Formats: sequence, C-alpha cells, structure tokens
Amino acid sequence: MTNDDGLLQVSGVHFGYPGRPDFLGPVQLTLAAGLVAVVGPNGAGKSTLLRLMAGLLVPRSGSIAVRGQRVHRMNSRNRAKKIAFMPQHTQAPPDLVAREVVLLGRYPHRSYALFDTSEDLRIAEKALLTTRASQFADRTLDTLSSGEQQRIHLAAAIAQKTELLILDEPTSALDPYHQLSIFGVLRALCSHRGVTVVVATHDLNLAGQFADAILLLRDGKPLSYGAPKEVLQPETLEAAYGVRFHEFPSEDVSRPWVLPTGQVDAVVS
Amino acid sequence: MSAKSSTSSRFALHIALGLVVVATLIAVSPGIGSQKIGVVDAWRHLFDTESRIHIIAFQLRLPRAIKALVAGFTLALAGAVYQTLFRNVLATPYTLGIAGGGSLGALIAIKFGFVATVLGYSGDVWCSFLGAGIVVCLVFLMARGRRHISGNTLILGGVTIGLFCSAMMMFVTYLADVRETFFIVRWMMGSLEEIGNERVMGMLPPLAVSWVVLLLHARALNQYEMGTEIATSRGINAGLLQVICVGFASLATACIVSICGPIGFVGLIVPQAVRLMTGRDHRILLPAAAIWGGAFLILSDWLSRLLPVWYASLVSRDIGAFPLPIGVMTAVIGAPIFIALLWRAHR
Repeated sequence: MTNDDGLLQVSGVHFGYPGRPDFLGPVQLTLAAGLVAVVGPNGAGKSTLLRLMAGLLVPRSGSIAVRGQRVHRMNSRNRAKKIAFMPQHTQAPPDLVAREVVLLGRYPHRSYALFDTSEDLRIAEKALLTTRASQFADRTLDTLSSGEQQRIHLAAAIAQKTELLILDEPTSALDPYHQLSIFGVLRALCSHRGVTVVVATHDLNLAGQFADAILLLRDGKPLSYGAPKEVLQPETLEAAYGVRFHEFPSEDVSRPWVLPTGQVDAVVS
Repeated sequence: MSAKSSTSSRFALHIALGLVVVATLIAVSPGIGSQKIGVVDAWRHLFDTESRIHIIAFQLRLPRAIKALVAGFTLALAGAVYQTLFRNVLATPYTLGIAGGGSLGALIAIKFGFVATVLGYSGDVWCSFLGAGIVVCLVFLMARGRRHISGNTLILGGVTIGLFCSAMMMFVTYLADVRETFFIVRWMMGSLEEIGNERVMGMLPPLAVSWVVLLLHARALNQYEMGTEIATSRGINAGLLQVICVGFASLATACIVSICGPIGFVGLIVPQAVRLMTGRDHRILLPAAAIWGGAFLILSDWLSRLLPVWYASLVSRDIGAFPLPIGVMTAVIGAPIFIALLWRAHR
C-alpha cells in the first residue's frame, strides 16, 4: 500500500472526536499523483479521511504530509495555496451570484486586495468554462439546481489553483452526462495540469473508469488500495459492502465494470 | 460587464451614494431642530461665534448630528458583522446580550458613583466595557469545548444573559432614588442628549481601531459565509476570526452604549436593508451598512426632536421642546421596517 513517489503520505493516522474512541485508523498509505478515488460504504470514514488530508481535522496521532510538508503544521494560507477542498454540502447563502462564489476561490492568492484582479477574473472564467457552468454564472445560487450548484463549487475549487484537489462526492447531485463530464474534467486536470485529485464517491464504476488508483475503506481502515482492476474485485467489494458483486468485461480490461447483484433483506414494519 | 468592474463600480456607487446622503444630512443638520433656523441662515453664521444662531447650529446641532453619525455607523457595522458571524439576522449587540452587559455596567457605575477618570475614561465607560466584556466571555464560555461556535447556541445564550442584565438593571433602578431613577430611565431609552463632545472624542481611538479591524476582515467574512470548512480550506482561521470580530464589534458597541445608552434596531434593520441593496459582498456591505446606519440615526434624531414640535403645533399647545429619546424613535421607525423585511423574506 505504499509508493515512494507519492504526493500525499498518510502515516499511522488515527482520528476520533473528543471523548470518543478512534473512529478512523490506523491509516498508513502513500497516494501517488493522479486521480485517486476513495470509495467505501456509508460511515467507512471517507469524508473524515478527506477532511484530515485537507487539514480541516487534526489526527489524534500520526501525520499527513504533502510533498514532505506536514499538512497540520503548514501556515493556513500556504496550505490553502496547495490544497483545495470541496465539501459535499456547503452553507453558501442562496442569494450569492455564482460568479462571485467562483471568485471566492481566489482568496488565498489575493487576500489583502480589495478587488479581484484581472488574473483572478480570467482564472474564474476559465474554471466556469471547465465545469460547463458559464451559462449560469450570473445567476444566484437559489435559482440553480443542486447539480448546477455543485459545478459552481467545483469551479471555485479549481480556481483556487492548487496542486491537490480534495472533493467530497462532487457528482452526487449530477446526471450521468455531467458525472462523466466532471470526471473527465478531473482526469484532464491530472493529465494536463499535474493536479492530484482525491475524490470520494459512491459510484464504483465512475471511479473504475477514471481513477488511477482506488482506496477502498471499511470501518475506518483501508481495505484495499491500488489500480481499479486490483480493488474492484467482487470478493473485495463484497467484504466491504456486505453484498455480492459481479464483474462485467469492459473495453479496457484494466478498468472493469462492477454491479451489486446480491439482495438485502428489507425490514418493513 | 466584467465581474471586476461590476464589484468595484458597485462599491463606488453604493459608497458614493451613502456618503452624499450623509454629507447632505450633516450639511442640513444645523438648520434642523425645535428652534426655527433656516439651513442657509445657519451656515451664514458659521464664523459668527458670538451669535445665538451659531451656538445653536454649530455648537449643539452639528456636533449632535456627528454623534448620531458615529453611533449609527458603529452599531450598524457591528450588527452586520454579528449577523454574518452567527449566520442569523437576529444577531445584534442586543440579542447577544452585549449591549445589555454594557448598559448594566454603566448603570451600576451611575448608581454607585464610580465616576473617577482612569486613563482618560470615566468610571461608567470602564464599567460599560467591563459589562460587555463579561457578557462576551460568558457567551464564548458556553460554546467552549466545541470545535466551532454554533450561532444558535450563542444567540440563545446571549438572549438569556440579556434578559438577566435587564432584570439586574431593573433591580439597580429599584435601589435608586427619584432623581437617579429619572436619569437612569432616560439613559436606558438611549439618548444623544448631554453627551459632551470630549466624551465622543475620547471614544474615537477605540472606535476607529474597531472600525478599521472590522472593515479589514470583509473578505474573510465573505469566505466565512460559505461555511466553516470552505473558509478553513481557504486559509481562514474561523475560530480566530470569530474572536477578533466579536471582540472588536463588542468593544465598539460598548463604547457607544457607554455614552449614548442602548439604542436598538440600528444594528438589526440597517444591515438587512442595506444587504437588499448591495448584495452579500462584505467589501460593499460593511462600509455601506455603516454609512447608512449613520444616516438612519441622524434622521431618527431629527424626528425625535421635530415630532414633539409638530405635535405641539398640531394641538396648539406649548409642551416644551423636549426631544423624544432616540432609542424610542429608532424603535418606532425600526419595528415596522423589520416586520416589512420579515414579510418580504417569507413572501
């Protein structure tokens, strides 16, 4: 589970909320640069691990480092220039204009300037184009669908121009077209701009088709980490999710399709 | 239209508009009052320092308008900051109990004669600072141990402490004699009467520092509105931002309460009304709310002095030229506006 060329090193990390036992850990792995999908059942610790990587939570023990620099010891401004984070849900006020939301992503680079520079505007426009959100950039958030709002928040994270992008279920509200579109964007960010993307998702097939590596979590611990073909094994998935999976052949043999086929007993009172 | 030109031109438009309105109000204020003096006539006596008109216009009315501007500017700015920090439009120096703490401190000083001047500030000012500071500490203690302070917890705590302070103020009033009771009751209604210019000047250093600190955090507050996680991921220390902004907003509130008494509704309705005009960008909202807060209080002060005169002329009786307490005036104007804003929000 380690790779010496890794961008992000997670060393012996344990996490638990104050007064409660460890909820996550031990986690020991090195994430290589590229697109890494974090998958696992509900409550496996995906969001918690992402927040630890982003420096939003402090591990009880162990450390997380980006290119050798400990995330939790970084100056918060410097960390924001290296790591962007997009949560699954935001508290953004509904009457904010979408373009303003994207421009807020430039804060770590221009925190003392009163107004956004022309470079900030250019980067924000490009990010809006990237997530196919330019057409509603002048609308307020409350007039946008959940999926459109997700694309705006993703554009803000992209506009932050960091080498590590951490996204918590960025496609949960998107239709298939936009799911593919967004994962295509993430893939392109990795390939063309050298950005490393860590993305939590419940869609195993999106992860399988686009990710360079998949981290499968169960009960707060990594169950498997590696290339899609290694992780998306029916036996491994069954161990994680508790249902049977079938593997289907795809054009790219290294990226299989998987589908849960087992049944879960329904309890109707 | 680019977003840059949009933001900077909106900033220029709103600030310029507010400044023009305030400058006009200040310029007209020497002519507004119970004694009929025309605005032009008043300004003709600007350098005639011995004349009665000069004394009324430039030694009473103009300084009073500037005091109203300073108080309104501060209370509206503090209200806008509190509303963002606690993500609640009801968050004001009053709902958080901070004005109550400051008022109680000042009342105790008035009642028990703590009037000695220390470091340039009289005892009631220090007691007001102390009262507001204790309330801020109590409210923060209630949220101790949590990763981030919940806005609702603080507001509920603040309301409780504010009610306690109100009860204690009633108790202090109960202990007072008739003369003290009259003074205390008038003070609790909020007033720009009898505030010496030197007291206001003495408050300017802490007020100016608070204004600058709060305005400098406008961009950080924009991030804070997106949620604590996003703000933190963009380099904002949300806990520190809360402490700094609540601290300086409370200091500024205590400064105003100590000299004017509690003046409600400015911090509640002005930021909300201005937000409807400017949008949520704090780079525009904070200065615009502050400027319009000043304008609101100048207008309220005019009305508090003119209404009794108009009423007297209406009933053809000489009831004297006693102005209404400005706190009563802001409530009379502010309550219907607040209800209208609520109605609009839930329409």
